[in-house]
Amino acid sequence: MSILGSLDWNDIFIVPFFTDPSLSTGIAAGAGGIVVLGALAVMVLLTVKGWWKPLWSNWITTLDHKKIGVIYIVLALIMLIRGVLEAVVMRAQQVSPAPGFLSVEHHAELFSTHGTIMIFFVAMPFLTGVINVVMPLQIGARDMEFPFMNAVSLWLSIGGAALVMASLVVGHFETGGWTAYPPYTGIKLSPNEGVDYWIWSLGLTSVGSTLSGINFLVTIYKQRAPGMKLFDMSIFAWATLCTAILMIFAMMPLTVASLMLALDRQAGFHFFTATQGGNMMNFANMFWLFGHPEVYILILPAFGVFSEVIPTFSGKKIYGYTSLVWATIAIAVLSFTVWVHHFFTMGQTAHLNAIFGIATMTIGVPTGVKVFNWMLTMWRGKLRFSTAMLFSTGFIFTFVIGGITGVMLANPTIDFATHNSLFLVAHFHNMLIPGLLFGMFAAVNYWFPLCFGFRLDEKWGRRSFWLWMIGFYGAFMPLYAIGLMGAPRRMAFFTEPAYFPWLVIAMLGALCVLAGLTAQIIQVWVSVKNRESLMVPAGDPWDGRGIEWSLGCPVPEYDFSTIPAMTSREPWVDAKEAGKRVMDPTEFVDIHLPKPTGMPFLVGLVATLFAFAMIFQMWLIAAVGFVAMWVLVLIRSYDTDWEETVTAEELREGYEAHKRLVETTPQIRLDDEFTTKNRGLIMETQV
Amino acid sequence: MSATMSNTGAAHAASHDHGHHDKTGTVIFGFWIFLMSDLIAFSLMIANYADAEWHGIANGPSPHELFSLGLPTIETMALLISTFTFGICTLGMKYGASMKRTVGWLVVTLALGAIFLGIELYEFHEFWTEGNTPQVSGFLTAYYSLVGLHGLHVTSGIIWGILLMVQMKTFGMNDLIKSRLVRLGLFWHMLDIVWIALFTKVYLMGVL
Amino acid sequence: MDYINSDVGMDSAEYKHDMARYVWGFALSVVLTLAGVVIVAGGVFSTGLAWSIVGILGIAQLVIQFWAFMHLDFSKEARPDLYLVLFTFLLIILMAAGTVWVLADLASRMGMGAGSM
Repeated sequence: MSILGSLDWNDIFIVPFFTDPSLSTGIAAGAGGIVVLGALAVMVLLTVKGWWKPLWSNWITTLDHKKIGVIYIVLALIMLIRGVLEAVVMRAQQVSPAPGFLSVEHHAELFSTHGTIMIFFVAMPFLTGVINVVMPLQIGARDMEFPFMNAVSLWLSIGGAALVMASLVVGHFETGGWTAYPPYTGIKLSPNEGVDYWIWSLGLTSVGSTLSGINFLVTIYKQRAPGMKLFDMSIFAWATLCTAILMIFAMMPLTVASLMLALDRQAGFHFFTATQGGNMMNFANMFWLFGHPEVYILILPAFGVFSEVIPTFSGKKIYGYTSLVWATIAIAVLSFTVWVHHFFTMGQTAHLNAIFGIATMTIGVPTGVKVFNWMLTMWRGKLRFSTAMLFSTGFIFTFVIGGITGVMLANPTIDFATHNSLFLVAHFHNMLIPGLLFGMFAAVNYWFPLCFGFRLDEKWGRRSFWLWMIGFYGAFMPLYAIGLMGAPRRMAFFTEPAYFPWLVIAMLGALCVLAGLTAQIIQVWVSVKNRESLMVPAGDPWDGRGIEWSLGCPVPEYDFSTIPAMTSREPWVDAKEAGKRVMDPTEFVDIHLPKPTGMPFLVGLVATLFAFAMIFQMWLIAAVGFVAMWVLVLIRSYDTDWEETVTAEELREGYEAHKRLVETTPQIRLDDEFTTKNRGLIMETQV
Repeated sequence: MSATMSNTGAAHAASHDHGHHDKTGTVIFGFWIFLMSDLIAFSLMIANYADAEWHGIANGPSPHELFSLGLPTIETMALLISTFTFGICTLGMKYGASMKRTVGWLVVTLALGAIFLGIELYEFHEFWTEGNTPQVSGFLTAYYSLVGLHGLHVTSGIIWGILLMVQMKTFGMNDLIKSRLVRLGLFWHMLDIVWIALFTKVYLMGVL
Repeated sequence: MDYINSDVGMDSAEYKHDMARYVWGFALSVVLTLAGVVIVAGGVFSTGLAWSIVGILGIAQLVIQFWAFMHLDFSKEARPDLYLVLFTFLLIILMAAGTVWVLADLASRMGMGAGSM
């Protein structure tokens, strides 16, 4: 075997189009072309504008938690564009006359990459990014506890995403769905490199997520501001804590199961083969041991975001703090007890299914508690419908519908009829679009000024909300209907005429979602263009409640000039009620911040090369890459000069400058919140 | 980074200061969490083994036919003594033992680890030459992977220990090196704890 | 807990006290390991009984080593680690025992007779 392993010319994206021209191979070649041209365009832009150096020194080498968070979110948005486009292509395929314009394999690749990307390369980086930006600011910390490891996690995730993008250009992705069940994904039935792409891109990102989880947990445990007890933390920080625990313990089953699958495929092992004593059902079992807690990794941070946004835009403190916290904890623990409901039909006894069905319904209870908390927070509040608030209220309505269908599916007898149908597809999109994406969109709209100093354009934000909301209902309510009529999921085409009108509506809904995404891109574009008039340098543009809003926007690299004194659960609200416009400084001391380093980027790069070599069985290159990765870590372990000092004097100057700025910023009324009068720090008496 | 608050209780500020200064304790706590995550991997492998040993023998040998207790017992003792010698090593380090003593006990520990690994590889080799490769059955796949995963951990522990000895020479016994040695120690003790489960489940219960 | 530094030297009472914990842990581990081997090799007990005894001995040794070598106890300093380990074992029971339960249940429905355990 050559040094390039199983790689050959036919793996290059345009070759199949010339050997076998069709619309399907044409679309594949076009998609690969977009990736290549997109990458080239970015490189040209960077060169023309002379941005390589600032990109390297300000972003790639950064260990600042806020910038790392922003990079995560940018990654998520790029991958979201691909995921949504794939969805639109699939919807178009199903309304075109059977057998449609895509080959069956191509369609299968599309739903597999769509699922894999949306979960691992949109949802995970999105929530990890938001946590990175916000959580340290909410607990009064200056960075993550392990900033270097934080950057390594980031570059491992980017490496995984890069591999999925590479599969458009070199070779194929797998065709077994995002769950990749063997024996279909075994070497006999899936002989090409597709499944290996899945295994190794997930391998990189799941290690990254595990490390992120450790980082979040230790940061919350050790870095809270003095006097901040666990039950003084914001709900978002609580959601982060529970998410971190899930990340630490739930990513491991996925890593184990996917590496076992790799051994089956490349070394002839018998973990999941159909013969020789393999047990493929254990793959489903282990996958969902990861997969169910994963659902709550995705949803809990969004719950945390809503618990911040709703009180701010209702002008009230959160209703039932303690019950909300305990509901979060209960969800986190219960999430480990329900994994069997993903495979009720695999053949277990009814007795066993019943137990897991009951456990599943139980988990709806704490979730219901949360819904009431949010509604009662809004009750008699003075509601202001900013984009973030619109996404939050849209979430409550929509999520409850998804929750109800979830409780239906928790009943094994109903699940037997709806398993593997479009009803299920509608259900989990109904959970994850409001329960994850809407939360993350709300978070971006709400906390954007902390990172960049200006607000996002409200007009385009609201347009994007309505398009997403209408598009969601249009795309997924029809799937509930035809799912109940018997339409199975993952079909390349349907010949049943009764489904057709519903599929057309779903197609229109998908286009509407695409328009929503476009509106968001326009929103960012317009906001950047008009950033001068949207600047909120004094901070706190929404009359916010968390201590992150006591800082100027954008937040300085050191976050807090002095660590805030936690006199209550909401010290910033107390300060504002006492008529203060800045929080009293505590004590100015010299602090240490991590120095920028390119090492995490290099570790990620080498790890990605290693994974790519594993995919194409280039064993020599893989071995070199693996060793090189650890050599880099070893080199780093010799570097003892990793911190730079910010002196107390600089911090005092930063504080004084912020104070002067705040004092010269005119106060405005809450009603002018979304106008250009808003330069930050609205002061209106709380309801 | 100490920031003593005028308006928080003295006790609180003190305990918080500890939290901020005590980087060693924080790193060690983070490492504990990593170990627990690793423990989940081992527990899943053991669960897989339990199933494979039960239903996955296919045309291959059963554990009863494959295993004997002699070599695994010696192996187990080697690892058990090594976890004890590592304890002597790190405990001495904490109480200001000389570098020579610390390195000496570390060498003894790693040598015992190498003996453990040698026996394990010898056993693998024996089984392999008898035709009992991991490709034969689900049970053998599970056996090689479970015991092999533990062996890989021991191997990386030995490499880590050797590299750490080089760093001890370079940096001397400062707090950073001490913290790294303690973390390697925790890793090593955890490997012995995992081995208790493996020895019990795979060999003792397998021979029964 | 300070893992790496102490105010006193190796001739102190603290050192001897800590050392005793390691020695106890080691001695008990040796005894429990050999007891397991003797029970299995001796063949005095029935298979089922021997299986249970060996299992209990293993769990006992696990607890002892966590206490002796990894310093887990009920002291204030060790409490975060203790809670972490207890939570992990809760999850291990859910995941590993859950896996065995689910797979055994499936096997029972496919006529795969339970072999020797």
